[in-house]
Amino acid sequence: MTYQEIESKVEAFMAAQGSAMPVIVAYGLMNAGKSFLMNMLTEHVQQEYFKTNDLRETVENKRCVSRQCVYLDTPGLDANDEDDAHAQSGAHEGDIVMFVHQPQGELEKVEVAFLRKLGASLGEHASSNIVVVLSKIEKETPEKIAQIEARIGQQCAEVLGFTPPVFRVSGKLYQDGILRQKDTMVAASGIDALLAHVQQAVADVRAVRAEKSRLAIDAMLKDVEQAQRALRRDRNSVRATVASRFGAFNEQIKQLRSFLDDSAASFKRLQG
Amino acid sequence: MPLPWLIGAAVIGIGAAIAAAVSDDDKPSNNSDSSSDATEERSRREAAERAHKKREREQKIAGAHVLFRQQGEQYGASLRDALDGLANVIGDEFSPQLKQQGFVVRENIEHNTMFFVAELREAFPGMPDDTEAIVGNLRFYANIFHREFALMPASELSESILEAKEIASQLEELENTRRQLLGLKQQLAMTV
Repeated sequence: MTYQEIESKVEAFMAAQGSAMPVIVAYGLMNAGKSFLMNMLTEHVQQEYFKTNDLRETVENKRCVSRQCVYLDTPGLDANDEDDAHAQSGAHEGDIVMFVHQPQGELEKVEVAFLRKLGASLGEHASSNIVVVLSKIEKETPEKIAQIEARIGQQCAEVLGFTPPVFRVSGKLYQDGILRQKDTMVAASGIDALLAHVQQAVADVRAVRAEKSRLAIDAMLKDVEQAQRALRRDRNSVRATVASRFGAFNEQIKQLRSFLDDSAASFKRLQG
Repeated sequence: MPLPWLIGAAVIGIGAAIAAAVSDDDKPSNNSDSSSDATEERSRREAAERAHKKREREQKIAGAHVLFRQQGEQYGASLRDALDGLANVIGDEFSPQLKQQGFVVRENIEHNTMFFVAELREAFPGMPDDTEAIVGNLRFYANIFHREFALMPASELSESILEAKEIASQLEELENTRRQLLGLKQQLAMTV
């Protein structure tokens, strides 16, 4: 590998390191509760960071950078083609994908289609990186939620080839619990369990990335050291060429020195 | 370009001339006459002989200076030829003079070689053996002959120096990259 190739490779690697925080992306249908969920996960309980509204509020991907990772909110999948494109770009960026579904029924066609695309784009990482989140569980009975969860599990198995972990959460319950300092409500909200899962996933992603980076660095170090050896060989060769070109000059200078010394010694005797 | 053995022969020439002057000067007188007239005559002859020898010796010293200068100039011509294709040489004066204390160079003009020397050092940093020998010889040459050097553009040497400087620059960059990678590796080990 040449000097230029190595420098370009290392430069690209270093640039990528700067933006190497794991990204958690949420997507689902419009008003599935993505933004509200993201506010809870990012501790924006009282003052929302991701805008929520009954109307479609998120029109483009919005990110919140935390200490360990980046949270990315996307527009609804079903809003229009442009929003769908925005959501797609979020999926490409995401290391961990939270697919948020309001459990009024099974996954809709548009959701299934999107999951299919997502599974294909994540490839071998899909099974460890996709999480299904059933939001707003306070609006349905536990029995109905259980039925929907089972059905979604089947749909995912058909579309993705596996059943991802499913978390039942209530952002509203979590918010009330925090504001009223009711631990039971917080625990029942399922947010902490989801957060723990996400944090573990983030740690896994970071560990995998760090290992990949270490391997990449070791490979680049080998390339660098090999290139250094080759350049030193080239320099020695140039140096030897230059030294040989000065060979006659050096030899004559040696004789000139002898001549001067001998002459001076003889002259000294003559004077004495 | 004179061959080295020719230069060696010339060195013997100057050495022999000066040595001959010394030996002639040391010849003792053979006169052993002890009469008064003879003593006076001997003193007169000896004085004449001393005067003759003194003149002869002064002539030989002057001759030795001339021979020394001529031979030095021959060295200068040979050395100029030896640098052909390597450097542009300006000036052509053989400056050393023979004195009682040895040969003396009139002044130090090391600054005239600085650019040339800097080029060599930049091209071969941290490689003292060959480069320093060349640098030392160039400085000596500049002082003895009052010469200045300039790297000959588009010469074999200037191309070699350019190539070596490019290699030196790349080696430095690669070393920086290596350190940067080692630092990042260490950072990764600490943070994960």
